[in-house]
Amino acid sequence: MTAAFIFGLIAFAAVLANIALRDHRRALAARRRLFDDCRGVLEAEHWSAGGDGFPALEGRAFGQDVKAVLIPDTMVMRRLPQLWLSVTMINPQPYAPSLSLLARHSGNEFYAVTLDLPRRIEPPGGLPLDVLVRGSGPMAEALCRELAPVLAKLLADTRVKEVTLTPKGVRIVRQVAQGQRGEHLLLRQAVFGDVTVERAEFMRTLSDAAVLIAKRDAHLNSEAA
Amino acid sequence: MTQTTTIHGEKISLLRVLGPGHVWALGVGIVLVGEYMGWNFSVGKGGAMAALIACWVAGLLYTCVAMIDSEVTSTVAAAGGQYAQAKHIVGPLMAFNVGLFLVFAYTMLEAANAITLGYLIQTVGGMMGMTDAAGEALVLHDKPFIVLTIMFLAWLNYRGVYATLTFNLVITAIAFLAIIILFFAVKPWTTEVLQHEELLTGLPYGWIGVIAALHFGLWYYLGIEGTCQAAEEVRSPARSLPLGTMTGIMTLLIAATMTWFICAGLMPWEYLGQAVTPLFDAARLMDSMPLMVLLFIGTIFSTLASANGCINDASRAWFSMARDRYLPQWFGAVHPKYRTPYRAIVFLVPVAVLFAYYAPLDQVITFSILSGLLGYTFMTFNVVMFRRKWPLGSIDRGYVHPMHPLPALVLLLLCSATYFAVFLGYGTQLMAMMLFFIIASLWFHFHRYRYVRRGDQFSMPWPRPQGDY
Repeated sequence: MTAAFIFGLIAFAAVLANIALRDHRRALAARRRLFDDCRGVLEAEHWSAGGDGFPALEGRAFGQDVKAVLIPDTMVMRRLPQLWLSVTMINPQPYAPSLSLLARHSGNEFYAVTLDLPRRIEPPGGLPLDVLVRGSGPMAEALCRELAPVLAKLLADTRVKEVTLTPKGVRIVRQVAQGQRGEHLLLRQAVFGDVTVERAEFMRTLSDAAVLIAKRDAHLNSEAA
Repeated sequence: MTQTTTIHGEKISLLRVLGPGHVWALGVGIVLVGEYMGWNFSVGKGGAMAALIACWVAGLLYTCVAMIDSEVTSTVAAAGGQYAQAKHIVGPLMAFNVGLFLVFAYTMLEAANAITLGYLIQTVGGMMGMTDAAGEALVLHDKPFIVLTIMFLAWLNYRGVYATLTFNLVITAIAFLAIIILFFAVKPWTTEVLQHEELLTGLPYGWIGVIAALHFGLWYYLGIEGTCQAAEEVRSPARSLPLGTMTGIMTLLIAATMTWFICAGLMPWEYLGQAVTPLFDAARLMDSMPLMVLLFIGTIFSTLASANGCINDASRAWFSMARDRYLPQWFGAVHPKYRTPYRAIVFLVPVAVLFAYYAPLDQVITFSILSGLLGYTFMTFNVVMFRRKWPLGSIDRGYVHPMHPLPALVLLLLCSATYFAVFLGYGTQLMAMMLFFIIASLWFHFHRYRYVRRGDQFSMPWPRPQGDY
C-alpha cells in the first residue's frame, strides 16, 4: 500500500514536472519571438535578450540611435500584468529641459521617469485628465505648452503610457499586451500569450519619437533666437 | 457560445469576464484553500450546525463586500483595490492602515498554508510507518517543510516573470475536483457512509456558539473580493466586477456547503473542530487509497496556490506603500533582472516563517481574519464617504450598488458581530492586533507622514469633492 502511494505520487510529480518544463520552454520561446515582426525596421540592428528572456533591440532610425526594450509589469495589485514597449530615441540636447507625461499613474510605475522629476506641471488643455505631467522647471512648462497638440494626439491613444523628453533624448512607453486573466487569477502568473510587437505600431512609435525631437528642437531654436 | 447577462442596461460577455476555460475557477484557486483547512475551527466554536449557519451568514457579509467594492472599484480605474480606494477617498493615514491590513491578511494566510502543508506531510509520513535501522518508528517533523515551503515560494516570486507555471489550470482543477469526487464517494443520497443523524447534535453552546462560529466562518471566502477582480490597464473594469465576484462567492458557497456536508457526516464535532486537515481526514475515514492520494494532492495544491498568491499580493502591497513613501522607499525597489519587488518579498519571508514556526494554526488564521475584517469595516464608512463626496451623477460609475446605505449597514453589523465572536475566543489576539495598528498609526502620523508627497497621492480625474472636505 505504502509503495503504491509513493509510486503514484512520484509518477504524478514526474508528469507535472514534464508539463511544467515543456510549458516553461514554450513561454521563453514565445518571448524571444516578440520582436520578430519588427525585423529590418532599424538600420544596423542588434538583438539581445534580457535576464527575464524578453528581447531588446538596438539600431538606428530617422538618423538617430534607437533602443527598444520590453518591460513586464506585475507591480499593481488587482490589475492584470502588463507588457510595455519602451522605445528610446537618443538625441543629446544638453540645454533641453526634462518633461515627462504619465497616463493613469498609480505610483507603482517603476519604469517611469515622470515620478522622478521635481516639479508638477498643470496639464495644458486638450490633454486627457488622468495624465500626470512633471518637469525640471519653468522651461519644461513652456515646452509642454508648445508641444501640447502633439502630446495630446499621442496620449489620445490609450495604449500610450508615458512620453518623456530629457536632455538625452525622447522615450515613448506603450502597451503591447496584458496578461491573460485566468493565469493571473489562479496563480498570479504573467502570461501574455501569442503576441508580437506589430511592425506598423513599432514604426509609428519611432515616427512619433522623431516628430517630438523635431518639434522640441524647433522650440529650443526659437527660444534661443 | 458567449453567454451574456445585463447589468444597468449593459450587455456583458460572461466569457470576457471570466476568460475561456476558467469559467469554473474565477480565481477561486487562491481562496479554495478555505475549504481544505481552517473553516472547521468554527465547528469547535459552536458545533456543526453553527458552522453551517456561520458559513451562510459570512456569504451574506461577502455579498455586501462585493456590492460595495464593485461600485468604488469601478471608478478607481487605476486599480489597486481597497488601498487605492483609501488613498483617494479617505486619506494617507487610512491608506497606510489598509495597506497594512492587506499585508498582514496575506502574510498570515501564507503562514497558515505552510503550517497545513507541513502538518500534512508529517501525517502522511507517519501513515507510511517508516522505521530506522533499529526498528524505531521514524517521526517526520513538520517544521522543515514549513520553512521550505515559504522559502521555495518566495524564491519563485523573487524570480517573477522569469518563472512560468503555465500548468496552473491543472493544479487548481485538481484541488476543486477532489472535493466533488469526495462528495460523490460518500454517497450523499444514502446513509451508508454519512451519519448525520448521529453526529449532528444541534447547537452545543446555543446561539452564542453560532455568533462565536462567525469568526472562522469568514475563512471560507477570505480575500475573494481581491482575487476575482483584476482591472485592465486601459479599459474600465466596471462591468465585469460584480458578476465576477458574485459568481466566485456562489462557487465557494456551494463548495463550502459540500465540504461541511461531508465532514459533518463523517466526524464528531469535537474532533472536527480542531482538525488541521479536515478534508484529508475525511478521505482517510473512507479507507480508500485513491481518495487519500487525491485529497492529499488537493490539499498540497490548494495550499501552494494560495501561499503563492499571498506572497505575490503581500509584497505588492508593501511595495506600493513604499512607493507612496508610507514606508521607507528602500522597499520600493524593483529587481533589475527579474522585475519583482524583491526587497519586499525578502523582508516578508521572516515574518511569515516566524508566525508559521511558533504560532498555532488557529491563532495564525485569527490574525489573518482580523486583518481582513478590519479591511471590510473600512469599506462601510468608505462607501458612505464616497457617496457624500462624489454623489451619483458627479462621476462616471460603471456599477451602482442598490439600496445604499443598507449593504453598508448590514456589513457593519456583521463585522461588529464578528469582532465580538473573535473577542469571545481570542480576546488577547484581538487586543494585540488593535494595539499593533494603533502604534503603527502613531508612528505614521508623528514620523512617517512628513515624507509623504500629498499632492501626488490623488491620481483620479475626479471633480473636487462636495461638502466640507
